[in-house]
Amino acid sequence: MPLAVIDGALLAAAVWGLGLAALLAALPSPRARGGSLAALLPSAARGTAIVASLALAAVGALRLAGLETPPLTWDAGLPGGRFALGVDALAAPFVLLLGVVAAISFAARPAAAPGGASRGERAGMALHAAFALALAAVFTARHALLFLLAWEGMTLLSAALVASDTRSARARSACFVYLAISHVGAALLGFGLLSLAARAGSFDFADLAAALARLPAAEASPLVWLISAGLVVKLGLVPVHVWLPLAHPEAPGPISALLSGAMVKAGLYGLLRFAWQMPGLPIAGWGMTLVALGTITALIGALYAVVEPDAKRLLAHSTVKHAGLLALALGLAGALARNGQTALAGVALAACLYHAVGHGLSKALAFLSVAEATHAGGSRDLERLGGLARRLPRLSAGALVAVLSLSGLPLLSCFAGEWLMFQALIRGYSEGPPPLRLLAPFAGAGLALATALAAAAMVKLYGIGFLGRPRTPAAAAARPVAPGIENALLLLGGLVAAWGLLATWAMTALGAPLGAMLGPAFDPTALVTAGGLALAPPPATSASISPLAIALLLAVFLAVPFAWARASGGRAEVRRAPSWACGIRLDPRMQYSALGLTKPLRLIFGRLLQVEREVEVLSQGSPYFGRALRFRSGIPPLAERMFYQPLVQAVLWASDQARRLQAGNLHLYLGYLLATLVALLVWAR
Amino acid sequence: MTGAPLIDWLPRSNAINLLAGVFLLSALYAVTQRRTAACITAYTWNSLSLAAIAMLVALLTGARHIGVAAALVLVSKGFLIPRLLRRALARSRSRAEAEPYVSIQLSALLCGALVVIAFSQTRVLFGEGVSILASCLPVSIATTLVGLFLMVSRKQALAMVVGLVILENAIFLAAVSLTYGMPLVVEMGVLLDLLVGTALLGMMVGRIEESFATDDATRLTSLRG
Repeated sequence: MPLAVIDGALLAAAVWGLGLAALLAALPSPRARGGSLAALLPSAARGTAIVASLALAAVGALRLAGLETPPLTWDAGLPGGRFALGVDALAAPFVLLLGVVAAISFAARPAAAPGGASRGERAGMALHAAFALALAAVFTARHALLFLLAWEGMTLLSAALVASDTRSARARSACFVYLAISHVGAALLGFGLLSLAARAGSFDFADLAAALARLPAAEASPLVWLISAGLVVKLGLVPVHVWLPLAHPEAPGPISALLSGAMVKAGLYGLLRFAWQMPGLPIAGWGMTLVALGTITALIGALYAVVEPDAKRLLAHSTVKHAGLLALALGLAGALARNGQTALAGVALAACLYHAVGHGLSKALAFLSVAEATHAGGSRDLERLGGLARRLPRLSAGALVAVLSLSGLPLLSCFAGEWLMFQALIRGYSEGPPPLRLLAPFAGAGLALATALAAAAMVKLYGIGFLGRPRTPAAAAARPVAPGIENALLLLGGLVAAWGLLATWAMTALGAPLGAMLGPAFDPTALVTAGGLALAPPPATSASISPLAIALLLAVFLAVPFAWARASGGRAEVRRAPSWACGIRLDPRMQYSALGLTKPLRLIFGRLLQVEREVEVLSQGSPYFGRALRFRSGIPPLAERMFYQPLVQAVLWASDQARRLQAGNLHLYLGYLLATLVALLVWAR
Repeated sequence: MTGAPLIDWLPRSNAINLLAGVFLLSALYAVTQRRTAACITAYTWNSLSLAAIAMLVALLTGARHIGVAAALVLVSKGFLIPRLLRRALARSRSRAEAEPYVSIQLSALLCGALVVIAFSQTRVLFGEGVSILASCLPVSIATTLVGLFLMVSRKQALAMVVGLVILENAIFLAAVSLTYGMPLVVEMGVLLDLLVGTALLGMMVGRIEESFATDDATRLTSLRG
């Protein structure tokens, strides 16, 4: 098998390449040898990282094509087996996604100045490569301890990258919230996995599965719940999603792309790996819980995306929404699979995996292009942007593709997944187990509302940020973006379109991971009909869709009128004239503002959002003659109000109660001693 | 170092049981006395009976190091520490004896309960007499509890110190009864500690009086941050 050898070499190349890139970037520039060498080192680091990421993507793609590879092993001298890295069927789509997103994110880093990179740039690049390496280790680890180490490394490195702008107080506090919540999750995950490993006597995933199968259900299910709770933190479900809209936007654009595009999927991967792909799983209630949580998360993410004025944070809220969709599809698949409806579970799971990749690509593109645009326009606040489409047309084209895809429009990478989710929900309602029938209508309605709200958020992002006239001089003077970065983004845009257009082939390629999850009873070819041109969810085909056919129809219907117009009248003459505005001068402030555009939604969801607004009349002298108005509006985060504030208050209250024990009275303390002693004497036998 | 004939012989000798009784009763006497001076007297008797028990054990088992320890106990606990305590009491200006937290009658009752618990639980925990000093173990545990109770119930700092040193005596007795005493170096270290500790506590009581014009330890609450 020469191909398998190449594949194994590719994985090794990916891992060592990312490590080498991190090292190269961390090396101090040799100043004495002149400028050319100083610039060479960062470029070498970037090139190595790109090549290594592409190798990683190739490994994933080859595994999806059915190529088994021997795992890389390393004896770390620890008990419980050798460290092993390998790509199995389940990990393959995630590895492919990570490879592509990481390669583009490295390509989209600004090139180093000719004089060599500064310390901050070098540290950023080194952390970036190390973060990509940690992510790769999470997806390829075949050893639980290595997985935990990689998981923690991923958290710490990304936290360092989030706080890379050390002067920003907002980034520091976001980093703190991120670390705090992540450590709770890591503790739960570590406790669950390590206690399972203790029962197994080994860290190997296969041994863990065997140990879980031996455990009685009363012991196994708490462990699985613990592990799931730890993993859900990374996926960003309500109520542990609060770190996500804070941390993701604070990192530089390429890092945000990796965070939202790939790291969120690590939570999904973990759930598939440890809470499903083991004997006896998924446990009862797991799927339904995920469906409920996913629906709520999708709604909350979409709602906050709509009302968010900060462009990057809007995208982060949209990530929360899509994490909710992924959880919903995963839970649906789990509930159906537990009920024995493998074919239908396959539809939901295919939707989940396809959407994981599709959203990863689109969101990476969105973060990269919006980060470049906001950097060029000088502000992340949508109210200070505008007119970028005319000034930066190529970048804006990339952003447009991302925005259309994230709105869930057909032909792009987020559509087929959401469509399959709807199909699975409708079928689950009519054929699924009784509790699912109760939940499915709510989930379906929630999914529809979330999708619509997310589309509104994307319209706002592009319409306010990129169209219209520049709202500030800084936005009007947006500096051009390096052509290399634009090319990388357009390439990613092409991938987003390809993943959407070739959805049927993508589903066929996902057959291997689907088979790994659902067992031999599942037939992956049943998902597509019409010679592989149309998607049709089994078992009884009631609906089908073919992205290629839609694209063809669209092309025809666009081409025919153009051809007809051309044939009948020729090209109409274009006359350019200033817009007429009732005789007054047009002003950028006459445009719709981001706040104004979402006012109706703010009113409709006012009870839930609890919008704070404050109008102040600024006057000089007499209060009856206002000179200016100051308007301030804000939306307090729901989860913090409803979940974290009570939690913090409860902890403080408990601490106050505990403090009463410490009255400072010597005799009381001695009394505790006496009482403890007597109690121990009486009960210790 | 324990010969088998001695184990046969010892339970027949009631001297140790008698001395153990004196040990426990002196601790209970301290609890029932309101005046600190009487507590110190009770402590003296307590220490003397302890020294006698240790001496008897040394004679019966022939273990020389217990004999040396007994002599040290006699000197330090029987004479030096009571003297230090009395001197501290004499220096103390506050003559008024603060009312204890628990009334004397109730104290006696509670200590009786503690003794019962100690005796019954020692039998549960350690079984019937394995050691030649089987009767001393429940006594020592009971006295530990009584000493601790003295510390809890009294407000005067000096009476609390008496509780502490009684407690320490009980721990010494437990060590002797379980293992025929600890190595001599340890015993000497503990005794030196206790001596220095008592001297320091006496000084601390003086400082408390200076600061609060009373040796009522409840006033220490005001130091809380």
